[in-house]
Amino acid sequence: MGDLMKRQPLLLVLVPAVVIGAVIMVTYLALYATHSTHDEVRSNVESYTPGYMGEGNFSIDSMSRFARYIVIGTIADTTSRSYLLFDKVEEYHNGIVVNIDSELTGTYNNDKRIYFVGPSTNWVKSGDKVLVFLADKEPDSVWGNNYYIIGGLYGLFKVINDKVYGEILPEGLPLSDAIKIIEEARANRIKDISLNAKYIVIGRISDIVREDPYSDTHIKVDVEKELTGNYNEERITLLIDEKVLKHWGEGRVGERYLFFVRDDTKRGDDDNNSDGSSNTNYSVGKSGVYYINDDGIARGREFPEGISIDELKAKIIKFRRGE
Amino acid sequence: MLHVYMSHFSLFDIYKLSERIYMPIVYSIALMIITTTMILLPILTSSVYATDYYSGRRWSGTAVDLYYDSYGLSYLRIDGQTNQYTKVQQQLDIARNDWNNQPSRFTLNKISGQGCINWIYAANRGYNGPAAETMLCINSVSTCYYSFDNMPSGNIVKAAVTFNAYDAWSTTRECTVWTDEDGPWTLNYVARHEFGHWVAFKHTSRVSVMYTFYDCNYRDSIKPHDSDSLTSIYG
Repeated sequence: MGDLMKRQPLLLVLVPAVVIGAVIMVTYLALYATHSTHDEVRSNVESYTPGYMGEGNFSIDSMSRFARYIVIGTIADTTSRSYLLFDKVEEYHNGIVVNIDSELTGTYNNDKRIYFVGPSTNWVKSGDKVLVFLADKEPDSVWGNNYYIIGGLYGLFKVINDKVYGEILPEGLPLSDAIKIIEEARANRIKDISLNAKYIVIGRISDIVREDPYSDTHIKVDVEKELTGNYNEERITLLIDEKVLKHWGEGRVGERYLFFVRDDTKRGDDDNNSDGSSNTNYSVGKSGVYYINDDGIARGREFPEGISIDELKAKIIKFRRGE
Repeated sequence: MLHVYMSHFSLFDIYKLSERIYMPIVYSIALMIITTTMILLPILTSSVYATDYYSGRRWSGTAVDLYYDSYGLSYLRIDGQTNQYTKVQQQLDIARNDWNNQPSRFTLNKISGQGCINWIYAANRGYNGPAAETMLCINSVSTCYYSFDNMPSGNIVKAAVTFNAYDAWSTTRECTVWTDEDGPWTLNYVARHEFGHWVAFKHTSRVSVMYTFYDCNYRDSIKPHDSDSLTSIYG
């Protein structure tokens, strides 16, 4: 018995050491096994994303407001394509054909198939049910003359067991809830920008001034109407990226636009120009430009399909009043 | 008889007998486990540390050459002006050096030769496109992807980052991307995030430069979790 007593301290060290060692090993193996394969994740759809390598702050709400089309359907075919950008950089894209079950903007009137492109990925395959937010064709972009997925892969979601999974919905969201968010966002298009804008100006471009070939264009606008009621001058100078202007219109003197002026505008160094007008150059972002054509139809980021200017004005006033 | 025999063969006797036979083995196993645990513990914990957003792919070495494409990058509109390659280059260097200054042996080396296959460039990725994207090519320069799911396992052999020339970029700290995606984005913040994808990190909900959404407090520096994860992969 004395021997056993003598050995107790040794046993007290060894037994916990063995137990701790075993626990560490088992824990490690368990953790290693759980992160190892994507197949396991897919079979258990508790959390599932494309693992997209992009940057963007897109949400279901914002994509619903920007989308040209919002499609729920089944992938009929996928293709791969690559091309040389600037004759030297190879780009890789996927082409995707979807058989449409429903189109949530209600503006897609073509056949029951739609083709669009996105960044190359193995995430989707034929037979997958998807929810996809599509932007309009922009031939000058890397996507060519095709509809493309908003935000790279942010706008592509898989529908599995009536839940929607994507980069911003790793835990999934019931499809019915996603549709409710989409419908609400569509009903509230231009609400946020109407409330956030410093001024909302309707007018015609009277002059376009470029300080140098590389700086933002100074757009001088004769103010026809200002919808916040806070701007009282007859003319306003806006700093705008010219390619944004030309995305919707042609960026020419005489064209009519509605501009949402940002509230983070910084004043110029001098208070006034030599003619006495304000020297402030107000900034307008890419969400703030709506070109109004001769038929009175305004087109801009949240109404890419177009809306009558009277209806757009009515919406803005309603949102500003808090209705 | 059996009862009598057992009564004389006490627990202590069993212990004495078994210790002669088994204790050397038990001691050996215990010492092996203790030694192995002491050696492997730092490695195991650091591996576990990285696994939650590390995709498992890696460069074969610890130094990666990359090339800034002055042609495309001059189209980026930064602080309201295009043709600002020097400014753009400085922003990319801030992000690159932030990764290089971590304790890990991994480095991103800027080289001037156009023969380099790892490019940083800019292109029009659409009015509603992403602000930036990273592409990784695995095992072959022609098997390239923008997402990790179903990406083949293996070594990264080529990478590229492209910034969207349709977006507004800034050299100053931008925390609010006005009215959803309107920009401007702080260029070095976004570059820092994209370089994280270059080492095969996925998006995460952690306090990390790889946080899924742009947030100035997450993008302004490499976070401890990012640094530790990088060290666990490349030493």
